[in-house]
Amino acid sequence: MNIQPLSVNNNYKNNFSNRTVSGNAPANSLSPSFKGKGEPGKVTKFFAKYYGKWIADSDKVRKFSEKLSKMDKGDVTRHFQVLGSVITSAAYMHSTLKNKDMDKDNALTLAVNQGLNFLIPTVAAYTIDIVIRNLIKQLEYKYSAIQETKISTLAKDTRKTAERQLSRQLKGFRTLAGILTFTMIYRFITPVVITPVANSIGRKINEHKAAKKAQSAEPKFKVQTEKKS
Amino acid sequence: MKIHTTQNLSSQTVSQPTNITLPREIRYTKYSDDMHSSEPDTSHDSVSFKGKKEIVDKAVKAGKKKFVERVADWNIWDKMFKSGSFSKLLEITNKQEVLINSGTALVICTLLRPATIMALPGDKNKKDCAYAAAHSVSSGVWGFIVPLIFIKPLAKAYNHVIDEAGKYLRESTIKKRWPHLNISSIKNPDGTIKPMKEWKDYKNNDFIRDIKDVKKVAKPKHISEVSDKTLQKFFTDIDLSKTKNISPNQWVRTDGKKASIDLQNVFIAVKDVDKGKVSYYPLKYVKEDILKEVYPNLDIASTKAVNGERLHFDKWHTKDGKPFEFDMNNIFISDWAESRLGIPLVTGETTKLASGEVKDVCYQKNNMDGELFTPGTPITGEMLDAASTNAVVDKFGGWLPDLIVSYPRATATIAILPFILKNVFGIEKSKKPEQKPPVNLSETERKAVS
Repeated sequence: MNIQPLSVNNNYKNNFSNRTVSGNAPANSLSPSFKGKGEPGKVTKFFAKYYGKWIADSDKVRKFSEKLSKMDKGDVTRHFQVLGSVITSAAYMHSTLKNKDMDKDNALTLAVNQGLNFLIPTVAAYTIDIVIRNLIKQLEYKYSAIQETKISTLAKDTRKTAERQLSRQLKGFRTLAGILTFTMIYRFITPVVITPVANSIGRKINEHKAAKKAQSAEPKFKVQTEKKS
Repeated sequence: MKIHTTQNLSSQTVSQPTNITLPREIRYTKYSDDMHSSEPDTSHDSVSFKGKKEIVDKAVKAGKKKFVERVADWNIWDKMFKSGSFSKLLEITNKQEVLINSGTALVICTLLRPATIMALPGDKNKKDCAYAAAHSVSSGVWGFIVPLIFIKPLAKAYNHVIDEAGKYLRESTIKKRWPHLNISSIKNPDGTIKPMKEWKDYKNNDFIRDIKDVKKVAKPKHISEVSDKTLQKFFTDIDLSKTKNISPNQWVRTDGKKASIDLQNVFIAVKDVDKGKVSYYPLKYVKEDILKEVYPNLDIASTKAVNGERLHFDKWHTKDGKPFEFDMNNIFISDWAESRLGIPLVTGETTKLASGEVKDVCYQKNNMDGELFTPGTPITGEMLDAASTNAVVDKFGGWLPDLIVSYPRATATIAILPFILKNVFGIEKSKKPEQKPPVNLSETERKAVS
């Protein structure tokens, strides 16, 4: 490892006079919330016993999670969003293909359309997620610094609570960024931009199929016309 | 190990070369150019350790980052981040992410999407646009009601289990989940479970269940860059009039004696030449290996008190027994009034993950006692691995019910929403015109088709 301590040389002396009278980040007061948690209700206790414990205490879930965590160390919320979208798209496709009122060819085209409406946005969402990752990190640093500045002005006894609160908020920050990106793509960009394009492609495919069908029927027509003549 | 050492040899008062043997190439690092041009070290955030292979990648990132930094500097973020409502939203997101996910979809489907549908010109008629907008609103509301009624209670129950882990979880699960926990500290002598806030970790520090709750410090600034107010805070009785255009080595107190700073507040910045990475270490806690590398002539034994604590640099010696003259130009100060950027506290200690990856050790926020720079419990590789697994398990706790209801919810959306829109609100799609025969057929063929 090649390492070196950083110091200044004479050129840096000029910066000495650049110091300002006050710092650039004003201290703000913070009022951390000290609301106590209420006693959980019967419903919460019931689900805790029969659902929460089942998940958190399960060796199988833990082992599976361990494998997943090795594949991606980042926030996994977005993968769950994608999984939800897979299931929803599958439901739409299944119901389209099962629809008895629809022509088989049309149903297939529509189902493919619905599949593309999952695939394209998912690729787009992951791409955008990667592109803005640095920005999100910078913003997280910024949020963290603003809150830490506030915390540094607090009394010792309240600081601990505020630090815990900040830790939860920072976890929420990363999660919220993923949720906003994926939901925006799935629920806004997809229906407004991608679906109309996919529909128009689907329409063209159907028209092409209809034209082909008509062409394949052509000799039959000719024979009939000949007979008539 | 190859070391490039940079000292301020041009410093007017300190004859630094007497302290340092220079067996290798000396590099002059101009702080103002070098530090400001280098990318802020984002690697710390994820507690990651960037190796040699990252250099090119980082250079590319540095190019991109300029734009990112400009965007991050927008005032709108400051306003948003200072708002209490935003912080509250983040807390709710941490606890109820499925609900926040549906809430975001609700806002998009009830406001943004209908407004866009109605505003955008297209080949659809007004009736169809109104239907599409109404369908969007109803699907948003439907998509929010289901998690609110069915999923929120389950996610709340899961969070309750984690809050009361001692009561609900097996001891073996607790050990796997929090490898840093001192398991004997969770029970009272009578065998009853203590509240989690009374639990201790293996360092006998307060137990922190969020393993990655990393202690951060304000990104240190060079002492010549900080404000007068901050200087006065860290240098007792400093004569400010004698700090302008004067090397810190010559700074004095108002009584004429040499200005001094508590070791607790001194950071040094160390650049890894190969990796181009700058790390800030608190001088009081920086690992001996780093000190040995950056001050090769320093007698490390002279830096330690009998109890092992690091002594003030005024008491340090060189290997040949002479007093070590610490170059004050090396001092960086971390203060939240000076920096808008927080970086994790590191001391040069590293840890290995199960994957074999080596990372800088960061510290938990559990040994504060008002001392900002006291490292808490070191976050080891084993702890990091457990934290990653915990994160996925917890996501399962919140998302599993949502995934289970996804299919029936989608089917119900297809079946129920058009029915409700038609029969309750009287909104329906305009009927499609009868299918015309393909245009490229002859008149006779058209007749045949029809």
